Amino acid sequence: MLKKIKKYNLLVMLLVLIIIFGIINPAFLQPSNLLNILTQNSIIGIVSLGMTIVIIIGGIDLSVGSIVAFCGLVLALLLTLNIPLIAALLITVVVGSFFGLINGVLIKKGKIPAFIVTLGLMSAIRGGGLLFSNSKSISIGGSELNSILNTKLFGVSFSALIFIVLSIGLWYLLKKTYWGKYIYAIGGNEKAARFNGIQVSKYSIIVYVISGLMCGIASILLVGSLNSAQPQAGQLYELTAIAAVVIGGASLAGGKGSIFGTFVGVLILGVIQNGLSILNVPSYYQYILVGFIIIVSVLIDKNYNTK
Amino acid sequence: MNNKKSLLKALLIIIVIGLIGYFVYQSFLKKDSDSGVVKIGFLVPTLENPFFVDMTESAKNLENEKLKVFIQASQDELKQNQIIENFIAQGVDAICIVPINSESIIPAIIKANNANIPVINVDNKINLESAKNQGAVLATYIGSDNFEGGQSAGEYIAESINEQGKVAILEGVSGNDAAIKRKGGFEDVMKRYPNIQIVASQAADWNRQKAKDVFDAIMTANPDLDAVFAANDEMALGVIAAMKNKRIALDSIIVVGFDAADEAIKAVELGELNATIAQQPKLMGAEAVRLVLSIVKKESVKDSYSTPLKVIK
Amino acid sequence: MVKSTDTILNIKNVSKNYDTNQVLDNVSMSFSKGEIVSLYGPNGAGKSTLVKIICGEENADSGEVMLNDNITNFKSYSDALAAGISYVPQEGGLMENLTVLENLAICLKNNLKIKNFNKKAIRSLIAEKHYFESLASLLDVNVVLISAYEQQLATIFKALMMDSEIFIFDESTTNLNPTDFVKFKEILIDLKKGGKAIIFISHKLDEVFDISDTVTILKEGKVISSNKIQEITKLEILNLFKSKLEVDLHKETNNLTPLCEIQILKAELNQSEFYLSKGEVLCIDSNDTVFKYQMGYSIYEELNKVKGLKVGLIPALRDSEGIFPNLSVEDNLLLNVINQSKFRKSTKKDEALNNIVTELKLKFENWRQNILELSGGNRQKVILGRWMLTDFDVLVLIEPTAGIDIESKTIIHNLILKLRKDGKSFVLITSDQGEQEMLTTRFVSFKNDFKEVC
Repeated sequence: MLKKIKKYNLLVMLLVLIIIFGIINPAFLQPSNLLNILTQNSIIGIVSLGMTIVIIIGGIDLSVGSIVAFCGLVLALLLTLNIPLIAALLITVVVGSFFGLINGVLIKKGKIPAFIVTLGLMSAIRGGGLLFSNSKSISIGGSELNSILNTKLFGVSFSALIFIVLSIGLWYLLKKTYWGKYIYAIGGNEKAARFNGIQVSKYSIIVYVISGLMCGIASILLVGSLNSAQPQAGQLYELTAIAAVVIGGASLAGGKGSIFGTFVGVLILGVIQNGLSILNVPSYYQYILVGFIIIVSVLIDKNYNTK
Repeated sequence: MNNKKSLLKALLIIIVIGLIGYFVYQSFLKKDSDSGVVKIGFLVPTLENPFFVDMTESAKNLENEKLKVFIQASQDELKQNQIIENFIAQGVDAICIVPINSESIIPAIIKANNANIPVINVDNKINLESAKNQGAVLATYIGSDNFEGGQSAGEYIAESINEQGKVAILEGVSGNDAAIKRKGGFEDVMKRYPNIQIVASQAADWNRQKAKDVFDAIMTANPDLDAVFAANDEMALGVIAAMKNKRIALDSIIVVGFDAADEAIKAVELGELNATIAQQPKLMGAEAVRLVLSIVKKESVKDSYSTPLKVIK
Repeated sequence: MVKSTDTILNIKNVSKNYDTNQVLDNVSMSFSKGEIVSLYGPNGAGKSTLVKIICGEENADSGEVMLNDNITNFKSYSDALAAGISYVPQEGGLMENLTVLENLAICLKNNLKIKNFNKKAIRSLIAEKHYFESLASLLDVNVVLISAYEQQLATIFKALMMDSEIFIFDESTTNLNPTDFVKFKEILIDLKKGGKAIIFISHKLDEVFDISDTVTILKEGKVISSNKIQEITKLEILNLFKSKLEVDLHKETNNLTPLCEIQILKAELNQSEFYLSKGEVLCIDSNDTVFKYQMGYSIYEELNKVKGLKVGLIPALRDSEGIFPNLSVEDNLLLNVINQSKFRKSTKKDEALNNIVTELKLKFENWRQNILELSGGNRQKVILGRWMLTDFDVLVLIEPTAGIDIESKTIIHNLILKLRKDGKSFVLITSDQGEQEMLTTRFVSFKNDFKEVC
C-alpha cells in the first residue's frame, strides 16, 4: 500500500507540473505538444529503462551515452553502405548488446566495481566512435528510417510507441516472471541470493546486456530523428537516465525501483524541459529545477519508507 | 491511512477532471489575443560564447509589443531539433537557426516546413544539397561570407609585407565549407600579387595543438617565411605558440587569424597576433529579425545575404 | 550488595502502533539504580521496541519516558547516550569498514572527550578495562573480518566503555560462549554495585535466572507480570506461554542409507572428509566459532557440486545473509521455487504457502507485507519455509535458532525432527548446547586442529 501511495505521489508531481505550465502558457497543453514530449523523450526513456534494471541489481552503467553514439555511427555507416534496413538494425542492436556483455562480464567475472568498468567503457567506446568516424558525423540523407519513425498511429509517433512497448515489456519481465524476482532478490541481498542457489553472475550479466540492447534501440531512434549520426551524441545520457530512475523511486543501493516509476520520472524531466523551453526560460533554470526535483522526490520517497 | 488514500484518490480525480475540462475549454475557445504579434524562435548553439550572446541580444533589442523573440540554445544535435519542435508547438511565426550540425538539423526543418513556418538559416550553413534531397526548404540565409573574409585577410597580408614574399596557409578541417571558402578567398587575392608565393597550405583542423605541429614543419622547410594566414584564431594562436617555442621574434612573421575570438583580440592588443578577421554577430542577429519581418509581410527576399567583415588589427 | 530503591527510569503508559499492529499497549514500568531487570517474552512481544523508545530510536505514540523525573525527549540514540543511556542493539552497532580499535575510538571521542585520534592513549584506556581477553588480539582487525561472536563482544565492550547510568543489552548474549558469559555476568554485577541500572533482554531463560533481580514478562505488547526473581520459577514462566518442548530422544541411527561423501579441500579447514547419510543430523562442532562457521559454508558449497543433490542453507547472519529486505513475505518464501511451473498456478501456490504457515505457525499480517516488518523469529521461519517449499535433500543449518524466542525455537526444532524422519538430512552448526543435544544423531568435532569423530 505504501508503494501505491508513492506511485500516486509521482503522478501527482507530474500532473502538478503539467497544470502549472499549462496555466502559464496554454500552448503547452495542446495535445500535439504533450505527445511531442513523449516522442522527444523516447530515446532517453529507452536508455532509462535499461538503467532501471541495472540500478535494481545494485549496479550502475555510465557507458550508456557512449554506446548510443557508437551504435548510431554503426547504423549510419551501414545505411550509407546500402545494407538492407532490417539487417542494419539487427547489427546495431547486436553491437549494443555486445558492449553490455563486456560490461557485465568484466563486472561479474572480473570482479571489478560496476562504476569503474562502465566509466572505463564510457571513455573507451567514445574514443572508438571518434576514431572510426574520424570525428565527423555520418549523414544518411533522407531515409526510410526517418519516415517510419515519424509515422503516427492514433497521433502517437512510432518512436513513442517503441518506448511504450519496451516499457510494458520490461514491466512484465520484472513484475510477472521469476526472472524479475531474481533481479530484485540479487539487488536486495546478493549474498542471500547466492546462498539460495541463484546464479548471480548469469542474471547480472543479462541485465547489463539488456542495458546495452536498450542503448542500441535508442541509437536507432536517434539516427532516425537526426538523419545522421554524431560521434559526440548521447553525452550526459547516463546522468539524465540515472536522474529519471532515481526520481522514479529507485535506490542506488539496489533492490528498489520500478519501470512505472522510471516511465513517470522520464516524463517529469521531459515536461520540465519542454515546459521551460516553451515558457522561454533560459536553460540554466532547467538545471536548477531538475536538481531540485531529484532531491525532493528522493526525500518524499524516504519519508514514506521510514514512516 | 484509509483517509489519506481516499483523499489522494479524490485529489487525483479532481485533477484529471480539471485537465479534461481545460482541454475541452481550450478547443472551443479560439485564442485571438495574440494576433498581430510576430513571434520569432531563435536557436543558437550556446550562450556561453560572446559571439552568440551578441547575436541574440541584438535580436532581442528589437522586441516591442508587436514583436517577440524567444531565444534557446543547445550544442546537442538532438536537443536542437527538439527545441525547433517546441517552437513549432509554441506557434511561432518564424524560426532563425544557427545549426550545430549542417545535416542533422534537416529533419527538424522539414517539420517546420510542414507547419508552414519559415526557417531562416543564420551563420553556420545548412547543407543545401542534402536539404534539397530531403525536401527541406529554407526561407533565406544570412551570415558572413567566408570567401570575403579570406579576401580581407589576403589584402591585409599583402599590404603588410609590401606585396612580396613567402606566405603559408593553415586550413580548417578538409571538406568543411567555411574552411574551403576562407582558403579560397585568400588565394583569390594572392593571385593578384605575382611577387607573393604561397609556399605551403596544410590542414590543421581548426585545432591549436595541430596547428603548432604543422607550423613547426612549415617553418623548418621555409625559414624565410614572411606571413601566415590561419583560417581560425585557434590555429593562429597555435602558430604563435610554435614561434615562441622556437624563440623566433614574433614580429618577423605576420600572423593573421579569423573569428575575432577573445583570446585572439587580446593577442592583437599585445602585439603578438597581427590581425584577426571579425564577423559581426550583432549585425547578423538584427538583420535576421528584419528579414523575418519582411517574410511575414510577404515581401520577397533573396536566397542569401551576407554581413560585412572587419579586420581587427 | 547495595540495595537501592532509587528509581532512575520511569515508563508511563507507553503505546506504539505500526500501522494497525499494536506493538506496545499502555506499558508502564520502572527501573532502579543498582538493579538488573530482565525483559522476557516471545519475539514480537515489544521488548526491542520498548528499549528503542527509551533510547530515542523510536517515538512512542502516547505515554512518556521519564529519566530522573524529567520527561525525556530524545531525537535519536546520540541524545540518549549524552543523557547517560548505553544501548547494545541486537545486530549492527559497529562500522564494518573500520577496525575494532577505531570503532572503540569513535565512541571514546564522543564520550570521554579524547580530542585526537591517539592510538596509544586509546589502547591504554582499553587495557585498563580488559573486559574480554579474546578481544585484545583483534583490536587492529577490520570488523568485517571477525566472527559474529567477536562482533558481539566488541559491541558489548563498546557500550561498557561509556560512563553511563543505564545499560541496555538487547539479545547481546546469543553468541557468547559460557566462559564469556561468566565474565559478562561479573561485569554486570560490578556495574550493579556501582549503582547502575541494567536492562537485560535474552531468550535464554537460564541466563535470565542467572543474572537478574527482577524479571518482567511482556506478551503481545502488554506487561503480564513483573516479579522478583526469587518469587517465580522457570516452569511458571514457560507455562505463561503454554509452549511444550517435544524432545525426541529416539535417535534411530541404524538402517541409514548413505547419501553422499564430501571432501573439504581448503587447507585452513584441515582438508576434511565426511560422509552423510539420509535422515541424519550431522553436527559439526569446534571450540573455534569462526572455524565452525566457515566449515558450514564450505560444506554447503561442496554439497552443491554433487550432481542431483538439492542443498539448502540457513546462514548464520539472518538479516545480512538470509532474507531479502526489499521483498515481501510471499516473495521471500517463494524465491527458490518461482521458476517451477507448478508454483505459477495460484491454487497450487496458495495451498503450498498455507501449509507452510500452519506448520511453522508463521505470524504476519498479509502476504504483500515487507519481510522487515516481521519479528526476528518469524523472519527465520520464513527462511526455513523457503527451503521447505523446495524438495531439498540436505539442509545446512548454521545457528538456526540464535536470538529467537522459545516458542519459535520449539517449532523449528520439532520441524527439523519431523523432516529427519521423512528422510531429509541436516548438517548442524550451533553454539546452543541444548539444541545440539536434542537434534544431533552424529558428531564431527574439531579440537586443536585435529578431527575427532564420535
